[in-house]
Amino acid sequence: MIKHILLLAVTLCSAMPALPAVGAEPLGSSWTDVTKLPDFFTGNWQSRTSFLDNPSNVPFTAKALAYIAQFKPIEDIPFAGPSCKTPGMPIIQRLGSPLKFFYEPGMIAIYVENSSMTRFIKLNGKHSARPNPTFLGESIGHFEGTTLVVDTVGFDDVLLQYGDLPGQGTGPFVLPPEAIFGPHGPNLRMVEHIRLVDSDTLEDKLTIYDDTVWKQPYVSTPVQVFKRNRGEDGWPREWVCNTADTLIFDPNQGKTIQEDPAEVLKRLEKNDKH
Amino acid sequence: MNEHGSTRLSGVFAALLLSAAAIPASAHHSAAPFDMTKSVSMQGTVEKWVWANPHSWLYIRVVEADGSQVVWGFEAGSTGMLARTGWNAADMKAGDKVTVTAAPERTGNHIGLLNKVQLASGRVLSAGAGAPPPGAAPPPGPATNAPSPR
Repeated sequence: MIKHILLLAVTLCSAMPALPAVGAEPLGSSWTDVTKLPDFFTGNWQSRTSFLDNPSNVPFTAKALAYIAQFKPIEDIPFAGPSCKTPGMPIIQRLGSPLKFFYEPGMIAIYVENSSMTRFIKLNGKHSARPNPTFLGESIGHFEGTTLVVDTVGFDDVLLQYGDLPGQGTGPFVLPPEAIFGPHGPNLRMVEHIRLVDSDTLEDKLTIYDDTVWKQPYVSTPVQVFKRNRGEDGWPREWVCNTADTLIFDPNQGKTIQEDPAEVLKRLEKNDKH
Repeated sequence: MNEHGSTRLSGVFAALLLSAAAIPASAHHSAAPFDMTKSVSMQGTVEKWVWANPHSWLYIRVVEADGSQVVWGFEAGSTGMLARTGWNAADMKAGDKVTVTAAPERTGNHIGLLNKVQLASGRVLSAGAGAPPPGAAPPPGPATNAPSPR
């Protein structure tokens, strides 16, 4: 009997290394984990969806309704202007140039080619007690199966779309004059669920929480879809805002002034550094 | 010689323009001022090719039928996306003869959203970078994994 118990104990002990250890580090904690993660990393991801949202039925707060009542549509977002002021999250990820994912234990970084900005997502960590405001926010993430869940707080003056003007924004590609933009509250929070739909398709489902704007969580539609670029096209590229000489953005009119190209050309030649 | 004014679109070209209208990279300010249902095509001489972000710009000098000269400006995509579609900063220089096709600005300014450029060599550069609307054919190059027209 004792012999059998000993044999069982030895067998169990020998099997233990094959079992996941209690309290094992969560996915995304080690270099070897890179082989277990969904392949977000090969090439880059080209947005295939509108950068602005289609209409939603999420009810607005009284404060937001008062703001909307006096809102004047804009023709361009400030990103179009000479300073290329970033719209921040989430719109900066959707402006046409691709996203490139990187990994190291405890972090996933996303290079956003539009603006050459990089999001740094702390894996399996906690938010700072007092995150400083930034245009990409402070992100923490974890994996739920093969889905990367990213929770972002701590926003600066991002371009926040409340919704669309009545009767507008129903097309597949919503344009700035159709949308309502407004300020966010102090507790603005964005939660993304990022996953591979197939080997070359990535989706990013976004839910926004801001109780100064919406009475319920705002689910962004359409779900953002990205297609993978491979090879040379999947290589990230530099992006520096350098059209200060060609575009003049008027913040009062909310649009870019269309100057006579002959006048722009004179200015370009006067300021030509090459 | 100015050959612009062609507003009747073939089905194929209309589809191309609609695709261009749907490019998020341009949509943040381009699609509103430009009339995507129209097309202008003209020959001219390159004054300046500005390789820049968020948009590159091509300026050409066009000689009108009466001999007068007009400078046109054409907005193109970001440098990264143009490169993925086969463009290069060195593709054009001042003095080059080109034929440009574009969607004109709505208010009649000499500005257009660039659709394609035919170089004197016959090579055509198309502004296909970006996302097509759902159901439309994908643009050439990046999203299709097809070889770029380099």
